[in-house]
Amino acid sequence: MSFLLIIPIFFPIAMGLALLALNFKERGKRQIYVASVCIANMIMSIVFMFTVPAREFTLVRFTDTISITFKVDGLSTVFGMIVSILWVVATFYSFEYMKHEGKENKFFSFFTMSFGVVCGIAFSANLITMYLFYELLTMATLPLVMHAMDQRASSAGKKYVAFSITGASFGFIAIMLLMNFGVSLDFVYGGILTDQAAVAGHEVLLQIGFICAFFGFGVKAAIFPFFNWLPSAGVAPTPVSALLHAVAVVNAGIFAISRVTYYSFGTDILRGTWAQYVAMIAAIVTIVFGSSMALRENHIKRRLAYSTVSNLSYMLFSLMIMTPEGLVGGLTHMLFHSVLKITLFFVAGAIIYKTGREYVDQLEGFGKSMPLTMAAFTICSMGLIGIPPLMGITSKWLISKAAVDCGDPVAVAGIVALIASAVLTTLYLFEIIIKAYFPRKDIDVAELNKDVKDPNGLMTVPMLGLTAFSIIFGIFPTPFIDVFQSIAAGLF
Amino acid sequence: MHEMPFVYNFPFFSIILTLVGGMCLPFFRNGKVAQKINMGVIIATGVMNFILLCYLVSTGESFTYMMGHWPAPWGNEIRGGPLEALMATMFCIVMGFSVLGGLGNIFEDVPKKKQYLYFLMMNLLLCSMIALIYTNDMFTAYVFIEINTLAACAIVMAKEGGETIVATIRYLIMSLLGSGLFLMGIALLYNITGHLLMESLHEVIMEMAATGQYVMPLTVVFAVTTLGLCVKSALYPFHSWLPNAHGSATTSSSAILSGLVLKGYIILYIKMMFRVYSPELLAQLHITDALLVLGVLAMIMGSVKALRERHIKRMTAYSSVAQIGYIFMGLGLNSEIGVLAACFHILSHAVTKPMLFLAAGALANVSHHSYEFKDLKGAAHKNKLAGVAFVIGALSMIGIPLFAGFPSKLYFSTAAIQSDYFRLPVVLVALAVSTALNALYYLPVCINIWRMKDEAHGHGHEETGQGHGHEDTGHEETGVYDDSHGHAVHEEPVTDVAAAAFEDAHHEVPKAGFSFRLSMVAFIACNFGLGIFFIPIMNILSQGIDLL
Repeated sequence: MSFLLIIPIFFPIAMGLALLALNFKERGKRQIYVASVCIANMIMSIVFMFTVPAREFTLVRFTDTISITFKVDGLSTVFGMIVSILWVVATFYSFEYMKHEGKENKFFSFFTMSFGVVCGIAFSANLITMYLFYELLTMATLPLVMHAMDQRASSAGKKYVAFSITGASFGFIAIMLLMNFGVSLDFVYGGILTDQAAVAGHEVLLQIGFICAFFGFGVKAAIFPFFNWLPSAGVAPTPVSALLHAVAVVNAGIFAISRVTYYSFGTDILRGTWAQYVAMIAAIVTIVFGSSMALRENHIKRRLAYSTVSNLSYMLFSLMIMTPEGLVGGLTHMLFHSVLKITLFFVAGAIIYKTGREYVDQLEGFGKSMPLTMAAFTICSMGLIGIPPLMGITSKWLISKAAVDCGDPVAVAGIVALIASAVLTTLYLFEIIIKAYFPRKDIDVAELNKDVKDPNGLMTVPMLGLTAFSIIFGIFPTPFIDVFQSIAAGLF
Repeated sequence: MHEMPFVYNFPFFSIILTLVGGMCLPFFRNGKVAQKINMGVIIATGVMNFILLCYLVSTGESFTYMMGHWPAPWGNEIRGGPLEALMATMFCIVMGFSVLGGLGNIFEDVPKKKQYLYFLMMNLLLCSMIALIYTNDMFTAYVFIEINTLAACAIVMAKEGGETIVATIRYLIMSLLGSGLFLMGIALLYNITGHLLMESLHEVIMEMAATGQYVMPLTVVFAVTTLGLCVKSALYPFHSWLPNAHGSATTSSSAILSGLVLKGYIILYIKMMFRVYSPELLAQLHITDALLVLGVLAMIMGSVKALRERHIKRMTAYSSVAQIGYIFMGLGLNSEIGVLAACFHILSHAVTKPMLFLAAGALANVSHHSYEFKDLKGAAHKNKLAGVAFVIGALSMIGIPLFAGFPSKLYFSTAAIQSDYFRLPVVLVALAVSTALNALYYLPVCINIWRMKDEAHGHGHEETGQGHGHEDTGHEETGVYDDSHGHAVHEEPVTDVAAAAFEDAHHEVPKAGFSFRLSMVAFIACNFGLGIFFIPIMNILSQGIDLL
């Protein structure tokens, strides 16, 4: 039965390729096709995640240690669930949004294919498989970034490829080192460097390898100083920014780093070494840097992109604490941030779609003109800032607690960064909210926004649904945290 | 007397068959007939070498074959082992499919009266490469190097035009310089040792090295022969002739020159490393270090140059410079696994690069015979198989798992990790950077050729300069985000598209023939075959290297 696991990976890839060949002329037919593929794949991936756990399926075996193998474990379930559910939501949103971008057929082909590739990352059972799908993810999403095919999109695409592939190839160095010094390449909670005799004397080399992996895979998670591609990639259509550059692609980076840290190198060889501090300090710098850049940025999508840069480093910081509590904190923030940030991007997209306005100071008085949209924005912003009882506070609490518990001075410095970043987050998000609800007196808001209104159901329902989700699970986060804790205990 | 197995005759038969097959072509003076004979010879040679390969792998032996009845140290010898047989088999396969894939272009580019000569040269080329692979004698090697050079120049020049003549002259000069250096090396070596057979040379050289005689002349000999072969296989910085020659020749010629001709010399060099010199001695004299440095430089610089090209064949040619760098880097790692990786890379590049050249040629055929990126927009929609093949070739070059380039990368990295702490970081970082660079120049081309029809026109300014990327970054940083975001398609002048569609409809798009499709499918299959089932190939190669 374990061969079922490859269906959620190859079904969307095949269907995406088929869509490329079919080239529907009617929008309605295409929407039914894409929606049914995505929904079917979501259902399949969720069902298979729970019915075929902990069993492997090898697609291709190169050697004893190198193979293309798929497996579901706790971490895959978390990542797979987040991606599968949000993918479907984003699909409906893009049906409406993509009407004004054109070239929908090509867009939805690669959009569908990327779904399969992300599932491939989630379900990979060893480093080689993950590397394969990690590279494929860059290539499958490249046409989406370059969608507009104008000069700016093309240069953003080149930057995206340059950063991502360079990162992955440095990650490959770490994979090679692990292959030579580890017992296998499979993901085992606690790491694969268990053969003390092989590792002895090469600790420093392996720590350098870890740094290569951290910054290499960290490129997708926009770690300082390799964050630059993410704001540039904002030229992509908003569903891409929302789903890929706030959820799927960037979380793939986080996911890869958790795999490498907790499941490949293992925390024992890293904890308390210079490698841990370098990684942690990079994350701390990024937290503050991302938030400050967001505050400076006047373009809504780029402001949100810098906010993503900062928030991704919350997760990296938490992961780099290298205790089970750190993993719990990181995963919790991954889930919560995904839900909140995709909603914020949806709002930004709705504004661009309805009005074509892209700058913060063009939003005066939008609270009245787009009430539902701005309500979603306000609630999710408050969640991201961490105002109780909404979603964000729980994850930040868990991260801070993990940092305090580990007792490391650098980790404690990280808490200061978290607080500073919370203040900056408040500033850059509330600026938008205040402009929307309390416009300046000297401008005629009614005249300015006379054509502005909420988008239709295909856009509002995803936004409001996710907002409702964020409220409910902000108040009752325990079911998720229980799952994360059992993952971090190595049970699931 | 010990009875010699019949299959041991096959290398000699291959050389003679290809030679005679070439010689008889002038009697027909007909391109089509010549092509059929040529193909028959290639198939026969391939089958013979394959049988020899099977026999040698099953017995695990290598052999030396005496030509005529002159025993060593006077006679001329052939030496075969699993490594040689595998390479020869692979060369025949790649050559056959390269000729098939570019057949349309050959008959189009080469004047009708000279077509049979083209196939004659192909036969000579195959003959000389097989001889280079199997020879056990340095002077024979030199003779076939010269034959190889002349045949290679001829197939570059076969496509008439000023460009190819200039390219050929440059190629000829560099090539003759290379073979001149090689000849100097042999002359010196013969002077010192009095031998030309590899085994006898090896004995004397090892004795001299042990006693410390002739250290300086030997160093010079090693350096000069190495340099000669480096020039001929276009190792950076001696690569300047390559992009012109490979970029301007007819498609099949480019495919064969890049995929095979460069490798013939490298295989000869590998044989010399083990059978004339010894790896330890080369390491002691820092020749391998030099190869490593030049290889790493080539990997980076070849890719950087490729990044600047706007001509698809020249870009692919520069990519060959980088790939040759990989191979020499593997040799420079000075370990058996490094040589193994280099040998595998010879194979993986031999199945990938001809595919890329043939696909590029076919894409140009449907784009008014232009190789410029701006004219190739959307070309893949007119020849889908070529488009798919180009993408697969690109993925293989980048080193994505499942494709032929991945095992090479795997083994190069392993070799690097098992070497010392000076080579390790250099090689690993070079591999990572080179991977990224490969992706940077191949992926935009892949996107370009697969552009949709509605976006294939009106963006001509886009690919004109490399500098715009930087300008654009600055542009974005200042927050200027103009409002036309995403509307570029709609603003295109409709008449332009209509005119282009009209033009397309009335321009006869040449159809890709059956032979092209066959060759593409074969190359794709070879690529996946090497990428997935690389362990048996590695076993044969390491068996072969052990026996050297």
